[in-house]
Amino acid sequence: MTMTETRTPADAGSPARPSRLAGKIRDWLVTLGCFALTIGAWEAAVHAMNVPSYVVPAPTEIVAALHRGLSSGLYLRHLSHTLQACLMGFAIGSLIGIALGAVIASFRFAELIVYPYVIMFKSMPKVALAPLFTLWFGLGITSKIVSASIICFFPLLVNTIAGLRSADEDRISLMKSMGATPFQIFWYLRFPSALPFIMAGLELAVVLALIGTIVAEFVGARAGLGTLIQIQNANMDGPGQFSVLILLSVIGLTMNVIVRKIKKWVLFWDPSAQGDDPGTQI
Amino acid sequence: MPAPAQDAIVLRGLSKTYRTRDHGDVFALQPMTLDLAAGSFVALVGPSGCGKSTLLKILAGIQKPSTGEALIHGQPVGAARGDVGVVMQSPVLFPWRSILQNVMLPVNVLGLDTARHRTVAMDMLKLVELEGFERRYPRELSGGMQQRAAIARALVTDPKLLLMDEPFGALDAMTREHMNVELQRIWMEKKKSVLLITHSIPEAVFLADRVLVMSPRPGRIIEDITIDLPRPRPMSLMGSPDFGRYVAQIREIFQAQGGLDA
Ligand SMILES: Nc1ncnc2c1ncn2[C@@H]1O[C@H](COP(=O)(O)OP(=O)(O)OP(=O)(O)O)[C@@H](O)[C@H]1O
Ligand SMILES: [Mg+2]
Repeated sequence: MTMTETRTPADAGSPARPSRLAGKIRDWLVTLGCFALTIGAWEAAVHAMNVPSYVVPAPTEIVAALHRGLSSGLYLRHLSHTLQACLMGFAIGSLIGIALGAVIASFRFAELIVYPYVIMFKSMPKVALAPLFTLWFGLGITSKIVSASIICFFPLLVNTIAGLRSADEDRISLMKSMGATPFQIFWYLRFPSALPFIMAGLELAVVLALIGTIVAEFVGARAGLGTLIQIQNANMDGPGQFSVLILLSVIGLTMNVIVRKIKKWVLFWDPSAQGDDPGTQI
Repeated sequence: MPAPAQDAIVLRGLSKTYRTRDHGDVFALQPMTLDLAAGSFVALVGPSGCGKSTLLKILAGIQKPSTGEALIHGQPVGAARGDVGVVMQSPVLFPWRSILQNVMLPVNVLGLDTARHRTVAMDMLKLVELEGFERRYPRELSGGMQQRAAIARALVTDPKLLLMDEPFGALDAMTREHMNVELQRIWMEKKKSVLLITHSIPEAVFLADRVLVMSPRPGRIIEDITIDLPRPRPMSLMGSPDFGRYVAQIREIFQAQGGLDA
């Protein structure tokens, strides 16, 4: 009796595997099923209540508009304008934020001079500056880049300063005992210690850059997805606007995923950076 | 150039009071005056919190003395980069550096020849029995293994003075004894000066020419015992009556102070 019972755990192991896979499939079916139901209900409600398409279009109309926009090349043309400005603004704003953060954290006089302005601008809603940028830099890509970089700048500045100051006291002591120069302590210790903070800042900034770009396009630009939404809005093109919104969220998600992949690669040594928690983003 | 017969460490009226914001002043070290001859092996024992690490940190240039001065090889602390190897009470490795890169850190900091020292680093890792772990990262190693990597790091630039704070505390008894024998060998071979802080009286007697015993905080040196046992000392020496007498003598000093720490 005991003999047969001791065998059961080994036997129980084999059916556990397919059942876990089945569980995964079931989870997916639940998610997809609910999604299909929601879309179906939306479609039915729009038709049943005769909602005009410029208020809330039916999903089928949105998909048709997305298909039309993409195949005609119209969306891609505007997309390239938006993406270019967004990525350049992200890169420039982040780099300046990291560089200035490093200077402020390393030199006390820099902190004394610069920090009051930082505190003042930090709590200002940066998107409110967009009209000024259009006035100063015109309807081209420059005002969009400036708008996107200003909004990226602050999280990186603040996180870089916090990160550089987070370096472990014992490690600083050890480097001092080796006779390390302040620059060596920065390069071998403070900067790597700041990387988790900097990567978190970049993750936030890439989403903010898209916001900054779209707001700049709303305020005034010759091309871009923000401009396109405004034209569609003026033309009462509901399906068009919704399809561009879908495009925008796909872009935002893609950029965020790419930055998270880079973060995991950069912070390979930090176990807390390896988790996948899309719920806590943004 | 310092004269060859220079003392490794000279303390002149050195004392330390920590000024803290929340707890007022902490008087950690009473003024002490001390000469440690170059090439000697000195062990420092004393109850927990008596100021041993404080003394080591001052010698390593991490803390500043409140009064007095400390000279290393005749020069003020911090003057000679790379002449002092430090092992702290915890491993203090850099998680983004592999074990080999961690051991190479002093080489990078001092701007020494990387290619040549990589072989030295590998030898040091072999010495501390971490061969094969050079490409791993600190979090993949146990506490004792990390501490051994820290010892390899302190040895890689072949410093003339080794300051070690409880370096073997995290090791199991077997590894610890092995490391003791190895440390004695390195010291004899390379003619280094060593200041070793330890909680183990037998370890102090086994390794040192001189055992300094400290009082409870504020610490001062209450006994300076010369260990007159032949070198190289084999592990079996620990069973000898002479060895036992030294251990008993130091233990008695501790007990007279009202506490046994080991
Ligand atoms: N940075 C500091 N600020 C304030 N007080 C400190 C500081 N470092 C140490 N002390 C105090 O100085 C005293 C001596 O500390 P120290 O670390 O030198 O002791 P220790 O002899 O190394 O003890 P242990 O054997 O437990 O390591 C302790 O009372 C401690 O609280
Ligand atoms: Mg200590």
